Amino acid sequence: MALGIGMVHQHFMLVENFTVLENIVLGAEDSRLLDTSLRRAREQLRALAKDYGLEVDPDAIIEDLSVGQQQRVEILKALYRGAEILILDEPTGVLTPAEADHLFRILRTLRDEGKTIILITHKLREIMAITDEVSVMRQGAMVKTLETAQTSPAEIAEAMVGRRVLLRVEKDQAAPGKVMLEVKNLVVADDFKIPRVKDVSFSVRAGEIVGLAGVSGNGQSELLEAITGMRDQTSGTVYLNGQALSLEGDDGAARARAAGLAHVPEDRLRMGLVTNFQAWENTVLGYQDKYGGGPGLSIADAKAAAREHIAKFDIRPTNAELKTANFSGGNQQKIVLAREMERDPDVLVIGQPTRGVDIGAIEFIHNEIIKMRDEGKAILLVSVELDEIRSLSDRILVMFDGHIVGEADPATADEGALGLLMAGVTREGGTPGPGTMPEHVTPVERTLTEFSPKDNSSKDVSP
Amino acid sequence: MQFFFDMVLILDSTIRLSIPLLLACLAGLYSERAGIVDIGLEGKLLGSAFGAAAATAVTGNPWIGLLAGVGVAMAFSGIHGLASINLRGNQTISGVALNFLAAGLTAFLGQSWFGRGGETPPLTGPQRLSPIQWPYAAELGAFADNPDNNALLRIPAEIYSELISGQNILTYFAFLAVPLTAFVLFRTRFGLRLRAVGENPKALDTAGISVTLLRYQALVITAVLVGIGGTYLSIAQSAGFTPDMSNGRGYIALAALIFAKWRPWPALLVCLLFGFLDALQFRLQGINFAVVGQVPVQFIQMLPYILTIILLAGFIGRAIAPKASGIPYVKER
Repeated sequence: MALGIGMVHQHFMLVENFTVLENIVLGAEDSRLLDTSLRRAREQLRALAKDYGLEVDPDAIIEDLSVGQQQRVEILKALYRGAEILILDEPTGVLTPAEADHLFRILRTLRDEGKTIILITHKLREIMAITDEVSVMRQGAMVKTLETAQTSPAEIAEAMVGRRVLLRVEKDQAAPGKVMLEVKNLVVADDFKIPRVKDVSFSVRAGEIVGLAGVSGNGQSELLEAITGMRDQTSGTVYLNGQALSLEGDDGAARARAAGLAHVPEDRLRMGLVTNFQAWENTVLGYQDKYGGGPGLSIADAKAAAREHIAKFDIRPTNAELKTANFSGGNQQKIVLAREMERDPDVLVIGQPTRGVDIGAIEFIHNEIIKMRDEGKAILLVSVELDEIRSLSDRILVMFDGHIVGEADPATADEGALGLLMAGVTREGGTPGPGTMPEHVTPVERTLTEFSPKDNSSKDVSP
Repeated sequence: MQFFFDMVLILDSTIRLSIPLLLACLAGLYSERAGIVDIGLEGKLLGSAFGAAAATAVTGNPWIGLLAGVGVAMAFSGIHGLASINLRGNQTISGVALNFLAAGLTAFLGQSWFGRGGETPPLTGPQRLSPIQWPYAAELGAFADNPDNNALLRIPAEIYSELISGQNILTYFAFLAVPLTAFVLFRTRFGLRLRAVGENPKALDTAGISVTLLRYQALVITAVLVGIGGTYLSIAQSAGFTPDMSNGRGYIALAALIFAKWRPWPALLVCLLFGFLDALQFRLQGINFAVVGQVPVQFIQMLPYILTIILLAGFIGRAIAPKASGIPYVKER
């Protein structure tokens, strides 16, 4: 802060029942008395608003403002503190397109006034539209720095996805049967009531693995949680084996399970396991009523089942009474997988099956998933690992900003093209047919030049 | 006329009864505005009442008693702060523990030091903080008592001599504390930060201000105010400490705080209202009512509490607590 660095966080750091002015001076008051600080701030604010086109009513209460306006307050806060370098973290994530355009206009003005702006985003479009230079960060390392004018979205996408060794999985051609899981017009909002899944429809057939690719935070988690009954859906319907599932309420997940939908959650530590429990307790969790009658739990039966799972899934150490926290990540994941797969579900929904799992376990888990498919189960796979999606799936759906923006055949899909889709470079409103992916890069490039906000932005500025 | 003089007497005891409430309520206001739930107000009130009475009984100087009272509250606040700010414990549990600690410790220490069943030796004369007589209060009081004088002049004379003059120095302090709190809270930089830390400590943290320090500062102010409140109980209102003499005032102060929606001026009004109900209750004891005749004293004593419930349930509207109240601040998750 003292060095003139200002940060606009993804989630705003504002006191909601304070006025704009109070929020701006908070922590940077130049006097012990509030009135004098506020008076001076008001004058400075007027100057800033004039210089940069950042109009906000200084006496408005934050919670009455729109998200875009709140973001403007955050920017003003940084500028009031004399920031020369402004860092914005995913600034458009919460904005409407119009608000985002306004933000870009402000950022351009700031740049022209000599401020340095660092934009953290996963949306290629924004990078192409307003940046001068772009650096790509992958797995904690800066992998590439390019001049925006000298590069193309395809090149950035390639750098983002990387060219890692593909984990090849041996599998036969899929033999899809009838539709087992069908999602129609699903809309899901997150905890902040912001829609994350926007009118999504797709289906998964028996004996097929459908991979849902996308940069994390584009609605996959919410979609997964809604399908498995862990999060209430705003609208839309989920059909299981032709029957509409009622997933509302706290016992939605239980009804989904009862109907034959098994769920391997994305975060095993947060949702999949109780790490303080012993392994056998976790292997029956959620299905505990099946062991013993009435209110009693047959511990002997449960432990026997756990030992069976441990042997079958090669979970090490083989002690069913060991505390779950003491297993390695890969073995913990196997405990979850064993629990869900051994119920013989019709539909298996798997999130991030190999996150934080060692190579050996990855191979084992992949093979188990393929085995499930060959038994005729419908499998929905969500992963941020593009390689995993490509090697396991029979069909790939790409999700961006809550929409399914494309579908691809993993055998023919080009990694760069998938990367572009994941970064949101697609024709607005276009409905790609099943299996259609741009065969070569040129159409994508064409779409880009046609729809890039960089070109449209000139129309925005002049009224 | 007689009704009016009765009223002045009731108001006079209203003030005396509401002072400890008011001080505890303002104390709670500082800590809750800073995001710390202080259910331990009751224990602090009791502990500082004991500390003040014990120190005064030993030294004979009420000012040392006052210091001791504030000191005890400060120590309690320190424990509360350590548990709920540094160690991020549950604030309610920490507060309840302090209440138990105070109840047990005062009775135990009182018995082992003074051997009077937990009470401190009675304080007399200059050992207590005595009322301050304002100039001409006695003359005006005599004037008001003379029924031959002009009634319209007797009323202000009575108000001056009974209500305004003759109160304890701590009473005047408590009344001064209300505008002072309003000023600090809404007109100073410290107040802005204090309110912010109770609403969204992250906003303050990203602005480069220590949440921990600010919360401790709030707890220190809380301790001073509630310490004075406890001292008032034992060496101004009464002449010594009796076990459990705070008698739930700390809890009622918290209720008053909610009723006042965490604002200082409404807090004054609410505390006066609670004090008034309490004073009325004393006044109504032993009076024959028109239809029912003598009402059992327990029923009358119930009145303030019943009214409290009715007021809190029905007339308060929506009270929105400071958002971060009760949540320990963790820098990064």
